[in-house]
Amino acid sequence: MRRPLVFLLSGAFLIIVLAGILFLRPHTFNGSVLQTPKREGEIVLRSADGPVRLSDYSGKIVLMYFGYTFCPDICPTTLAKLKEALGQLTPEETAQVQVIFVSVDTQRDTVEHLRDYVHVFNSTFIGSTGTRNDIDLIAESLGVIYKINPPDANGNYSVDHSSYIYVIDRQGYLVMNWGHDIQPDEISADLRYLLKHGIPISAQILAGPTATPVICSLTLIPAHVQGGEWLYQHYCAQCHGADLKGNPAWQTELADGSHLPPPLDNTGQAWKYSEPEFIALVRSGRNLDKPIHMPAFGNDLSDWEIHFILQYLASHWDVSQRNYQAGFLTLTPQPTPYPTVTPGP
Amino acid sequence: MKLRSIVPLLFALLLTLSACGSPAPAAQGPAIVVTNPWVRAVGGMGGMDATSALFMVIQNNGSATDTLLSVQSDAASMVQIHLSEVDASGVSSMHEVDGIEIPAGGSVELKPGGYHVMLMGLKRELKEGDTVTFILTFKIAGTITIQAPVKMP
Repeated sequence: MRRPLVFLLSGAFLIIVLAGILFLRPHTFNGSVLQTPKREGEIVLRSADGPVRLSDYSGKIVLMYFGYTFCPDICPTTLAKLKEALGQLTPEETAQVQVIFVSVDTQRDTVEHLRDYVHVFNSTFIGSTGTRNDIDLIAESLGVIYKINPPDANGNYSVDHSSYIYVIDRQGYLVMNWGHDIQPDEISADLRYLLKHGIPISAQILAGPTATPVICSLTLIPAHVQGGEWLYQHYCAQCHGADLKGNPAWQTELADGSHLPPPLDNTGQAWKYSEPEFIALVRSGRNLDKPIHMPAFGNDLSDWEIHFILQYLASHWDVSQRNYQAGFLTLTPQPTPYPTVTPGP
Repeated sequence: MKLRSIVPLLFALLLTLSACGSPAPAAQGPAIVVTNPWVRAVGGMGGMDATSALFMVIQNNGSATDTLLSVQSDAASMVQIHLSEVDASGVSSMHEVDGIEIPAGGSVELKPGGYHVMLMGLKRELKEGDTVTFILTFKIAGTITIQAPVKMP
């Protein structure tokens, strides 16, 4: 009599587990996530509608593609995929994405021709180019390769060029590349995730030494954040504030060269420290010989406890700040799998 | 208007001719069958720097390998057979090829990212819904005329 119940229970358990796996499955990015996101410098290009500055699109996800309009094949195919991918998003989501086509063929492609070319696909796309020098600077910065081939007898020439779509996040960091064989629904799935969550720290960690497709599981380890909060309130809040805001006058240098306690949330600069730098600073303090100083916690806090505090601070940072910091993480990567649940940011 | 009524006639004529000229294929019907041809719509008013491409599937029902040697069209001042390739580092390149071999009993798909017929120096704007006529020349099958619709990519 008991057997059926056991079967029933184990069956139900199995279903719950399977459903859990299915619904909590982490997002797998369809592109190569950059291990160390790169902050792009000011990119200025020309378009038929005036200068195009990358900073004009901060707050949006910018998708850049480099090619030339004489290209009848890969370039239009890519633009068509982007058009289709954006069509799969809601208007609100689409409004947060900007496609910029950059022609490396500065000799043939005029800004007017570029506008006509991209508007066939989508009237929000920007067709741009620049001086050879501008193009080369951007190409070098993003890792774009191109080569203008010698002309044939008729004066026609083709251009070899990188076929990646470069994904630049809201803060201007290059975070991912999509290959030329990416499909529209893969693009829209990644965009939806990026718009919602950004690229989590663990995506950086799991990316490994080379840029490979990665599974991102979670942004922060909840237990570490929780532990870090307790430690923070106990050791740090007295000076840096329970709300991590520090002293409003922190940027003003005092007469002896020291500073008032800085904020440690996203308005400060704590995210600029690598984890080892951060640990070293907390352990040994700063300006110990001055009245306003950062005490040394080397005797009170272990490296792991400082790591927990850092996790707590990171929970107050923007995604890009976390991404930046993640490039330096040493303690966080752990071989054991973390829970595959993505906590709300 | 006149051209429209002539084209199907010409098409039928060419088919007959090609069927007669080629060694009798094992299967019934023409040896070379072109399906799903389409031309990519492009913006702008054409001109020497405007390009487009023709894609299609070429099926060879014959008993010998045939080769697509050349393509002609009145929509472009120059038409070439091209191959696009993407290397391991993600760099795409494109170059002209002498022809495309279609194995006996097999087919070759001309599609984005691979083989395509490149149209250079467009004589008119290619808008979605337009139709472009092409004359394909094969080594064995001779010439075949096809109508390809212009589509948004």
